[in-house]
Amino acid sequence: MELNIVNMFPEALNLYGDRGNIITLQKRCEWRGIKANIVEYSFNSNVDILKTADIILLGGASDREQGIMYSHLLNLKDLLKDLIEDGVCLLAICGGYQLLGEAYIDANQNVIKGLGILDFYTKSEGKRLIGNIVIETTIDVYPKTVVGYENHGGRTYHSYQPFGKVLKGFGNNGKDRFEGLIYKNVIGTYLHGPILPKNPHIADFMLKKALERRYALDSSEFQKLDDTLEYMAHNRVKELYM
Amino acid sequence: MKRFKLYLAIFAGEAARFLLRLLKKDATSAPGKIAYRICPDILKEIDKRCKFKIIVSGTNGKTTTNNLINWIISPHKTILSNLKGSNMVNGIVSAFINNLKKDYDIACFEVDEGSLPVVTKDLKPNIFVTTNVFRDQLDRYGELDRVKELILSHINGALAVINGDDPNLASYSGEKKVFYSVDENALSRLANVTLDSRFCPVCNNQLEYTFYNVGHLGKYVCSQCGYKNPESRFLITNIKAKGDSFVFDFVDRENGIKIQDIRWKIGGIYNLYNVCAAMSVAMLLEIETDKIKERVETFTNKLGRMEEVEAYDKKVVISLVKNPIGMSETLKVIAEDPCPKAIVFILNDNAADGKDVSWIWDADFDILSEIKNIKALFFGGKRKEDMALRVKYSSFELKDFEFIDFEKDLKKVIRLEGVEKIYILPTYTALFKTKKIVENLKKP
Repeated sequence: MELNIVNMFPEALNLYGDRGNIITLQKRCEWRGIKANIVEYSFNSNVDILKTADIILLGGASDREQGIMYSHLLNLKDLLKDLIEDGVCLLAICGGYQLLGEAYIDANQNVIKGLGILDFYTKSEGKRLIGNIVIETTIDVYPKTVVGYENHGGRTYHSYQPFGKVLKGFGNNGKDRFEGLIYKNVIGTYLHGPILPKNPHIADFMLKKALERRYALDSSEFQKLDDTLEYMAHNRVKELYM
Repeated sequence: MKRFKLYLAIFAGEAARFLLRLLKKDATSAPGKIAYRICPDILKEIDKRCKFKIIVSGTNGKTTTNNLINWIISPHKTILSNLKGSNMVNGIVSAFINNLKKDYDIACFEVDEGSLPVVTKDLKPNIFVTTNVFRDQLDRYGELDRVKELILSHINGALAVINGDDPNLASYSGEKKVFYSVDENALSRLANVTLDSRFCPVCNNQLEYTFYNVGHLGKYVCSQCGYKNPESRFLITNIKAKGDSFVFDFVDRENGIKIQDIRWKIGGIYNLYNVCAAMSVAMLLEIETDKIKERVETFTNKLGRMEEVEAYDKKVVISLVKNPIGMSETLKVIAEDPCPKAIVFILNDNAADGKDVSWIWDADFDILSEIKNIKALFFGGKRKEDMALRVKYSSFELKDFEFIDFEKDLKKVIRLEGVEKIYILPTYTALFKTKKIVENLKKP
């Protein structure tokens, strides 16, 4: 078995250690004897790379770098939309999450267009929301908690299924106590940390979904790993900050 | 009235220092904090008392560069400096309180990037040294581009001494500037994982590199607009790495001066940038070249930056790690050392460490698998599990390791048998505790 994992513009969309998400997916495949083909999608890449993707990672970046990326991503809008409807696994973090929506409204009320794949918007409102975060996820995994670190100026408002309920921290907008977004096999979230190493159940949720889509695999065939260390780190965040 | 406030501030600061010393506590920040609270104009007074002022800022290398400048210049001039890495306003004012004089020939301060606005408002530097801009604690400073702007916009007409190998800093548009650089050498790499900055600051195209010395420091060119390394006036070249030390030449191209066969005893190619910056400043201050050479060769590091201490029958090397590039470079230095060793990682997430520990994932831990003879591996600090997990997800095979409460267990670790050296890699708030513990174990 193999999975194609596509990292979108890693030279730019690589903030706050999100590289750790790729490493985590790769290692957790390897440990199960699944071949992980890590592919970087970059400026001059062929779009066929995306067409055969099983998992796509879309990170955030600094304002300047996100600006550089935007025009490149816009060309891929229709393809990304089709892939999402077809059930591709997409993990979109922070700036990448915001990009999926219609628009980002900055502090001066300028409307910066998003990819418009999903129907929501993000607004800049006052000070940045920064700190350790713990949420209770809505997706079917165990344990229910997801831990991470958030650092965002934008407030996101939507009426999709949230990724989780905020137990500690701010989440989408610091008001409605929801965090992130779930749409088909898309996870949009503000969680850095990076998210996947300390939340192996989320990493495995993505891998399972990808394997199901590609191989019609029954999840009972999915090998369990020794995650003692992963959950020690997970629990430490809860112990210190919840 | 104003004078009264100033004297009161100095008096209160001195009293605080006296008490702290009595209690054997650290006095690098609190005396200044008290004095600054009483008299916020005290920086202006420091500015007045110093004839010539130097500021060192940037992400990495501030403390070493500042200490080396001080070490080279101090035989020739009276100098005021914050040598212990305490680099915000309180640290600078504390340095003044702790070394009170009517006037000084030179002030040389390392200044935290975030403190530049407050400090340069009252302290007007003649020379402004920029070391580099790397991804650091994003929760404190914001993104790399913002840090770069923060630094470049506070040079304020001083003579800028700029690292020409850092593409972000080299785009500085001010008129008064000189560049320094470090030549390609045996430790330069052709590819680099820990890259924070890959885009041309002029046209945003991706930069191409002939070699990397440290992170994105190296020889670069933009194929679109032609932006490339500026012609540097000061250069370290002809570099020979010998174990964990170097022999190299230093060149002042403008004056056709070459200082040959300089011996430098501290490992890490990033240190050559610090040496180059400090020597550039010394040349600009017209210190005689043989005196510069003599001081560079006798410099020892006492501040937890690859600092070697003997404890029991062991050599203990303490090296502060606080950002991805620093971690990667430290591991590279350890990889040059074949002796039987233990490595201790200590990861804290207090405010001064950066509350966001995600930076460890941007460091290149695959280098660990190049390190020979690791006999034992320990993880300590508030976020020790995060650090162990990072190592588990590298190419290094994490089998035997131990979690420790470092304040209690470090003594035991240092007694470990079958090991010659103990490398301890703490984050900022663990550094001073580590140093204290190890120094108490020093050979009698």
